[in-house]
Amino acid sequence: MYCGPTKAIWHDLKKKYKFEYEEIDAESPEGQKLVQKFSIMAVPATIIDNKVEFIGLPNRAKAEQAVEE
Amino acid sequence: MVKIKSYDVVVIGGSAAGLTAAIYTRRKLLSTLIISLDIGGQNLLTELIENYPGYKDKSGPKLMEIFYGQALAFGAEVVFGQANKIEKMKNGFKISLTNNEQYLAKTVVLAYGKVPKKLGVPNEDKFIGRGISTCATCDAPLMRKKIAAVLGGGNSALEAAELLSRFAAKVYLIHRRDQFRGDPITLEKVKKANNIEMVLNSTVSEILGKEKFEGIVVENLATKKKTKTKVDAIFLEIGYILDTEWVKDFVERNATGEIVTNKRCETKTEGMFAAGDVTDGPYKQTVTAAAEGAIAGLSAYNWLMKKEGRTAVKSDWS
Repeated sequence: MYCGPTKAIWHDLKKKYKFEYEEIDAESPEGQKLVQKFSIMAVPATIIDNKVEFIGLPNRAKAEQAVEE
Repeated sequence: MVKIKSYDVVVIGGSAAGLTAAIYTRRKLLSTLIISLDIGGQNLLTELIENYPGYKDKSGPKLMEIFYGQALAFGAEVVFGQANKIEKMKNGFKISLTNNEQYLAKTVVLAYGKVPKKLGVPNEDKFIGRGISTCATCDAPLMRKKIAAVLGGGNSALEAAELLSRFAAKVYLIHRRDQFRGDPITLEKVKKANNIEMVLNSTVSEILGKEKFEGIVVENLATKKKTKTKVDAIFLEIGYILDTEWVKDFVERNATGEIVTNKRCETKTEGMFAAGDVTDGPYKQTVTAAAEGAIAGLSAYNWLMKKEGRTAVKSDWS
């Protein structure tokens, strides 16, 4: 439900901050591996530094804080 | 003391009505904040919209993405969260969110439509997105070889169960009545799936788990027997509700709880407008919601201009 707006937040932050960013389809083989590894139960899920930081739509301020750290 | 950010217009809701209202208020250069749980609302569950003029066959999410991009391009700000309190202030309103954020607004546009109905059991909010889902279309692919439960008896519940049966090892379809309300053709598909177990006359009375979602308690409404059932996730397909209770002091509501507005989308409170599915307007369509959003946005602008003694938009073209 929140995929589009979530992508928009990260795309927007990418303009302001330098960080590596990748979108992975949960249905792809690579996505399924991540689903299993992190026990993801809902999408979109945002994984930062090997940790699931956000499930669903991230709060923009918290997302910005996460990339600042 | 933390300074609360102030806007000319706060739009509560981020679907067709709310996004259109924001497009119109931003085009009048009013500072505008959209507060919403998501972008698109019920449109996100619509696979194909064929009757929105100008877009022949767009999916609901795609159409909402275009609305959203347009609102952002005009400079609307967005905060994702749930507004749950409005207070009247000297020069407008104070809006509080469940996450304790607060915003000030000279005018408010209520355009949050309907919201997914909740179970109403303890722990529910804690496990949303972590074992409780309201979007089978989104989350079904995450259920490969897992056990899922679907609660509901209408078409959306039947469709969710059928979809989940293609991914999950087992699906419990739980419904409080002794038969399903969905279309016979959809029910046939469900019956053909050999991994769906129908649990009738039952509801979910508890969510199990402290830190991690562990399952549900299924209560048989006839026998009152409760059964702990281990599932990896439950999908709520129990419909949408209109939640206007929290704004009842500011608006007049009809028998079904819809906010009563006039042709200018004005409510009974000065400076507060409403648009879209939350109002008593007829024919709940994306195009009518967008139209009401435009009217509410322009009415908010007019109201502000008149209050400041400035020229407003003419009410007609004469």
